[in-house]
Amino acid sequence: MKLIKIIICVVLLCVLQTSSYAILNLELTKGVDRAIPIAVVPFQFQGNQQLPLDITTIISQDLQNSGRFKLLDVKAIQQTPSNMNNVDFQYWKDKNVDDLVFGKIESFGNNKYKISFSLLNIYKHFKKKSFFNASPVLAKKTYVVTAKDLRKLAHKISDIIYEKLTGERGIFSTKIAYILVTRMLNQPRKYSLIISDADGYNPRAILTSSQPIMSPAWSPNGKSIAYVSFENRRAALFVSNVATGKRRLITNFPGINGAPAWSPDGKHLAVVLSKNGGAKIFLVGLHGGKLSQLTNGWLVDTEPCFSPDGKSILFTSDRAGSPQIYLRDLASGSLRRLTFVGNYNARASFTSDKKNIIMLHRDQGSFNIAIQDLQTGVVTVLAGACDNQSPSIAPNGHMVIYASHDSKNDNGLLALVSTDGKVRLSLPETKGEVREPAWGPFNSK
Amino acid sequence: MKKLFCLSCVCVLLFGCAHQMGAIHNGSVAGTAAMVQTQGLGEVSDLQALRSLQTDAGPHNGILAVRSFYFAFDRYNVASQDYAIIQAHAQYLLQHPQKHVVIEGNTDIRGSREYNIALGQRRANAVESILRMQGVPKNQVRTVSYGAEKPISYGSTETAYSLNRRDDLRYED
Repeated sequence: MKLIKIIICVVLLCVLQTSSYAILNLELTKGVDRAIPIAVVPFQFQGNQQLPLDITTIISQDLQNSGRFKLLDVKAIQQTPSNMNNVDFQYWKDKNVDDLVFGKIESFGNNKYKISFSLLNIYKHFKKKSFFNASPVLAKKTYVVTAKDLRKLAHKISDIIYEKLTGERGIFSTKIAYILVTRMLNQPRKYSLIISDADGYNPRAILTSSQPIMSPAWSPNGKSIAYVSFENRRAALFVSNVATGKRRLITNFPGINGAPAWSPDGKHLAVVLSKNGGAKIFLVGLHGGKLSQLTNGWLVDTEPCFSPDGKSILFTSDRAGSPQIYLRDLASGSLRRLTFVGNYNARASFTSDKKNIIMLHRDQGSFNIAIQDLQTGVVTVLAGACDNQSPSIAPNGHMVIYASHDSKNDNGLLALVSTDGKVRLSLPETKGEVREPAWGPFNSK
Repeated sequence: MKKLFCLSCVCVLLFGCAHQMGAIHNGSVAGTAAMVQTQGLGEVSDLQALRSLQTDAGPHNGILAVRSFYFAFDRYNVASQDYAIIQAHAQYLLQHPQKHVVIEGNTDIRGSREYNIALGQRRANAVESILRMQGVPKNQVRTVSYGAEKPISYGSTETAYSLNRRDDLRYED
């Protein structure tokens, strides 16, 4: 039964896929069993020019790829309402649809579009005759945008639908950053730091280099990205403004300058420097440049990550003999080891509720993305079987993006898994090797 | 022998070999660059990287042409047979105080990227301390770790991994 559902999802995806080119194409490989059945009716279009973008398809793909919805096949839709008056609730009830989305697009001159949409709950209509007048309308909005903002608006509508129906904030308007490495035969390798929409559209390089770029990290306000660049044949830490491309050098000490992590208030970066010997964690003030050393000793401390309240820092250390995760309280300086399962745990980050950490976890030789419940200590593998690396959590705490090694083509791909392990997506990349994804915050530009 | 070497270089370049070719190394792979040139070269996919070592601003005669030192999995101790070569480089640097060298540490692809940067740094530091112990002044040596970011060998075989676990000694102008 599950297999049939997966096949249906994949077939739906193929049906709904537009012909427009995207570098990263999402392929849902596993969805939740109890997906919400929803119908997204093709938005009615009024205008003499052709619409540059298929908004209905973008919304459908967003909802489909979240794995939380089961979309009614557009071929099975024989009714196409565009306002409340022509909604035949019985028709949708018979199709076992819980919720209905429909809308209207009107084009003006001057490249402007007026878009309205409604989200109805079919079930609520049939409960109307109660003491509380329950309207089936969950959302009804109208917007006016120019052509260049059509895609952004479609994602915003997806976010509204997602939030109304799941209670969770949608991530369809967020951005991701990643490193793209291309190597053509006889050509030197090229490294690029790319920012794209969360679904892979609109990729743009904010830095290209013949030397490695690593560890992209979004600022909490989504306006800047910190990263490591080896462009001068040495490691250096930079922060680039995403909109303007302007950047500033943060550290370029001899040896390691690595693993930048932003404090939640955006005022500090935790970084790794080896200027005093081994790899140690330091705190750099972004206004004033004050440097302070947080960890000591001769063994390796790396991969710092602030807790959501900014009061403590997770980091990887091999002081116990192999990489494990530790937590340092910033106020007291106290140190606590968190991981005791397996002999390699690295690159940890908190889930937004602070109850779990996501990390890279080695189990019997293979590197997996795992989640550890901080109260019970139980470790659950979310994605294994391949060489996996660099997990990054979405700002709603529900999805994790990570890099996966495709051993068949010897290539790096990005993949997504939900923190409950139930939803899996892969993003096939054909133009090169994709590494180190970093999920941007909610208000990322 | 030289013709065979050139021919195999051309073959690798033409056919973009990222797969395992030829014999698998058995036993220790902590050895010298000479081993790479006669046996392992078929597995090296990024010949440009090695070529740049062969044409840098440093000595290329005899033992000094050896620029790469290999490490066992998760280890950063220099192999005993590499000491003599590194000491020869130390002597060269002492005799040529205007020459500068950068030790580039590398790891195989497995594991966390930033942790691999730290491991690569340990490998670079290990060769640096041998040079410093010979009296080479600090200003003639620097280290950089590329971790797993610049592999010269692709694939998930032990051979591919072993070729990436290395330090490269590069002379800079």
